Amino acid sequence: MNKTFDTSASHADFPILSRLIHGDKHLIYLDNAATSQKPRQVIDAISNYYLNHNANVHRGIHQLGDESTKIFHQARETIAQFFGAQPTELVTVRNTTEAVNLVAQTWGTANISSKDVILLTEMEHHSNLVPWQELAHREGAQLAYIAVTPDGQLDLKDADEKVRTLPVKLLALSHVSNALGTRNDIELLGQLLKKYRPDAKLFVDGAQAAPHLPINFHQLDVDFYAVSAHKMLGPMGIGGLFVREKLLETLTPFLFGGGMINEVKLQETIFAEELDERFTAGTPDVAGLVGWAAACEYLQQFGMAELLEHDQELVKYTVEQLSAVPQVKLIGITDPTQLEKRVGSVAFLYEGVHAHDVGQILDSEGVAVRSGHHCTMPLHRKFEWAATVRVSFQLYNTTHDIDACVEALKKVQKVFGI
Amino acid sequence: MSDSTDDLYREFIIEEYSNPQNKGQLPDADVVHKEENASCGDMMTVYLKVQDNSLSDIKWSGIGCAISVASMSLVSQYAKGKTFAEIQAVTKKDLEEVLGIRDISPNREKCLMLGLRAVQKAIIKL
Repeated sequence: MNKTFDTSASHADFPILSRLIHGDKHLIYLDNAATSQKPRQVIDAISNYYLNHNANVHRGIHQLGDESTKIFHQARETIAQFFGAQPTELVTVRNTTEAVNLVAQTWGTANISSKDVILLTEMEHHSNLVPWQELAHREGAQLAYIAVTPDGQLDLKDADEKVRTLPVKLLALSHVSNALGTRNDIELLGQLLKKYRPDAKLFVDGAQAAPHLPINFHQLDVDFYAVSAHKMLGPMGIGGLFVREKLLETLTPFLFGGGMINEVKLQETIFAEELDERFTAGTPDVAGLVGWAAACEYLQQFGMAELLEHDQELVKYTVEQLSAVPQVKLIGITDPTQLEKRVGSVAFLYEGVHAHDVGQILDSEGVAVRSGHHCTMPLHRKFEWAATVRVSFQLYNTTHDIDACVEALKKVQKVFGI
Repeated sequence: MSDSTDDLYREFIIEEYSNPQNKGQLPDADVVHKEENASCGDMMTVYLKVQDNSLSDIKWSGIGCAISVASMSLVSQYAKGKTFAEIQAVTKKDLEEVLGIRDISPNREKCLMLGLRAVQKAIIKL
């Protein structure tokens, strides 16, 4: 196996990976699609901010206030740059879910009516489905879904037909599926949308893509791109919505209050002209931004292209190893010639044993995975999967972790006698 | 294995899971109730036949993990012939005791409680 990236160099940066589980088991953390671990550099950046620079931004005329404001803008710039966007195009939110809600409530309420169709896909995480469902119910709009094929890919013929024949006003889809690991062809779908529905907008949920793919917001040519910091080595509770500047200018603010105003009178308010201020009501999570920026810098020192290659090796190895376990049935893409379309995770069913039980037994061996429907109930229902087990990767994972997982799976067989 | 996992996968739980009691449906049920565990997708449907203030027969159908199926099976066996008051009085602690689990983890509590909740809610629907 070709090694493109030396994981051992990064392992020491994640102290949590050295802790023991259930007394004496080494932690094998394979639940990164739920949340990644954080390197010391991220934790230190947050801690350093609070220890040395904490003050509210844009307010106090004192040294700490100035430092904090500078740090805040620097962090926003680092993050925007990481995603190939302008800082003015970054609206900070708590997480991807909040970003979807923001777009649904601002752009959606202003632009979606009963004549429109909101087009989603059957593989969407609930966070990129429920807010659109609510919007559709509120406005009397229709929901339509691009079908998923049995091998876990979007049915492009179905996509073509729906975009062509339905009055689609918005296409919202994930860049990488959290349940299937499928990497959707955003460029292709974007072109399709522009061809038949030039006025429609494209919203991309990048929660599972941001930890693994080099992302350039402008090159992708999408209208909205949403991410969460915590899945890409950053802290929980901070995320971003990238919006094209021209489009952002047309949106009404999502939250109102302090910080986002230009002038307040008793009966009316003029909102801040600067876009980043207009969409930042209240005291921002400066420490969260600082931690997220540190995560971007941490990832950048290895290079996202190199990290993607590392991920691809893990995906390939995991598919090979799990395919060799007789009780395991993999879901999603397994064809070796198609595997480059699978990113970040591999999920499976274990014959005769519920995913929860598999997860619990793996945990007893120190192997942390996710089991359940991974917030994709419609997808699980479509294929009649009660629940699946998902292993998902980050830069610190190695093929040894996969070996440990496969070894721990033998316990499942032992306990259940299957 | 750790103590907690040992607890969860004792032989008798696996046995109960593999050969669950009262599985099936009652076509002439007085009440049918479906209960879902939203966090993992498990679902149990219970079919109750009642006489006066007690349960004369019960069947259940559904899918779930070893804990939820074993628990559903034992609950259904216990509930048969009991009064509604007796069934409503069953608690999480009772189930932990019957299944021999010490302090179920928060992530598995819903599995343990799914069947009991289904029966208790079905009775309220009557």
